[in-house]
Amino acid sequence: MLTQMLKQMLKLDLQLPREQFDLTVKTALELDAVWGIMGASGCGKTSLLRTIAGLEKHAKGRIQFKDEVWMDSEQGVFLPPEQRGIGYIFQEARLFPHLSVLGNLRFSIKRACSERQGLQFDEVVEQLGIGHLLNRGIEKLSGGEKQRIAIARTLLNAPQLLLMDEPLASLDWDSKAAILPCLRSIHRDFGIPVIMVSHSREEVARLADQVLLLHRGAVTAKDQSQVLLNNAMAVDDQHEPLLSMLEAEVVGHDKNYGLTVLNAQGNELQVHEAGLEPGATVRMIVPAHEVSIVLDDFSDTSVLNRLPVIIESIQARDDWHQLVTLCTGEQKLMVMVTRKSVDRLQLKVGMKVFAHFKACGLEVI
Amino acid sequence: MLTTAIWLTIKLALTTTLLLMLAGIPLAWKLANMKSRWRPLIEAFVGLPLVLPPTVLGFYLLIAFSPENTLGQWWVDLTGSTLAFSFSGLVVASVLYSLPFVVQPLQRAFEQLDHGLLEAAAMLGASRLDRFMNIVLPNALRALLLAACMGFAHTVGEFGVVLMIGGNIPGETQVLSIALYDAVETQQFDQAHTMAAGLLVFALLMLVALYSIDKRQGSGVSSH
Repeated sequence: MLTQMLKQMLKLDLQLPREQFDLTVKTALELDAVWGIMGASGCGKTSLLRTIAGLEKHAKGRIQFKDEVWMDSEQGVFLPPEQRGIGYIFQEARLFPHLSVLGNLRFSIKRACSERQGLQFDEVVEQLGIGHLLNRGIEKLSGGEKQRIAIARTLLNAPQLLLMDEPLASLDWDSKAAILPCLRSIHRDFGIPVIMVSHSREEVARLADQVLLLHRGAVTAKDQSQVLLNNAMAVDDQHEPLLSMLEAEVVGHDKNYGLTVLNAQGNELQVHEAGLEPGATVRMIVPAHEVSIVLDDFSDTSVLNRLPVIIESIQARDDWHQLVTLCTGEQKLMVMVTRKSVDRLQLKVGMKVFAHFKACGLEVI
Repeated sequence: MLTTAIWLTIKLALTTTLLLMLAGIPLAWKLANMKSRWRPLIEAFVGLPLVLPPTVLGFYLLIAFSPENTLGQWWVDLTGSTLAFSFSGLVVASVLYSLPFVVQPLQRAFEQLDHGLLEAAAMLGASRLDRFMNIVLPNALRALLLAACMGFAHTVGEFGVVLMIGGNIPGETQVLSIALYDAVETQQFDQAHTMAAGLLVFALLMLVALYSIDKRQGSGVSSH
């Protein structure tokens, strides 16, 4: 059992000299989860991913994937990137300009490792919705189309590990919404281990199960994404909107109003119908600025979701805003309120209040 | 005399271009990716024919080709004939003389290549050679065409080096530019007119071709 577990790990013990500070990472990642690597820009997230891929020639230390040693600088072992069986989705699509869309995909299929079961061409093309693009050249494609083709190209290569570097950073909101479910299903449907780099809390909340937090080249935290994301101080980036994740179970559907009913630890929540089977576990993403605090539950409002909660903490965010962390059972909900509201409602730690919010994103786990 | 000279010129230019591409492509790739401080020195050696009088190159080659020296002796041992005043000698000289015209456009194209594409290809399992053949070369197609045309045209246009090391042997070293010189010396002006006009038209057509390749390369990225 133990050896079986060790086999499903990516063990890292590596150093990479960089201009401002060295990247030093010693950790082991279980490969049955989707990993998110977070941290402020320039903290070494991308360098870590590139080192795992073998694209950083100056890296030292040891990398072991399952029972394959990819790098061991003491033993002089360095497996070239093309022999590691890694699928790497770069921030930019990096499609080959001299080939058509189909040519790009064929380039990948031709070089896929024959021992591993590759994904079916038709299946990948359909999942990513690129069937109508196959015979086109790549220059006139939109950013979203290019990135979907890059993802398809990577999947058709039958990788044994998928690395994604901010795969959605260059895309507009519509393209993001279209691609996010695909990325999640890569892990769920195809069983490929995934490590992604992101600075976006929402991307990580939607995709990652586990999070590795980097600060100036060192690992500062490693935990479940729900735990880390619901702790505002852990991932503190003023530019990124705060959000909470709630786990819930699908109970049923309210056909009359097109709503799906969820159960989050005994509390009923409702979201727009999402075509989910009852019994499925979902991850609900609630941005901190979408939540409001109400003192009593008597007054009627148009907001569907109301949770009885207890105020766990109140922290100053800046001069005029405060971050209130609410607690419902074991789950947490973060709310951004003005200092004026905190004073007016006389909010205090330990108070019982109600949280009203609209559900935003919903991801199936 | 005229057809022999034309045929010899084409043969020399084709052989030279072929060898230039074989040597120039790896050399240009090496230079484009070189970070060593020796790079300017190597670049300077490759670029010498651009500024050196052809007679200087020809003079040193003539000395190197002499059977009294290592290279010349080695060639005599290998083939039984001398390099100087032979077609083979002309090929060696032409390759050196036209090298910068092939290496420089290729090096420029290789330097402009997006290395992200090579990383992407590596992550798809392509080996170094595979990446070079299937990503680098196809993306430098216009530069390859340009380099081959430059090498060919420049070889047709050479005079000084040929005169120094090849002399004027019909069918062996008497290329068009030399034949023209010979015709003027011996006052065969009809022949001289034909050759001069022919070379002029050839040069003009070649340059039009070169400039249209170059122009398309500039705007090609967005319009293709």
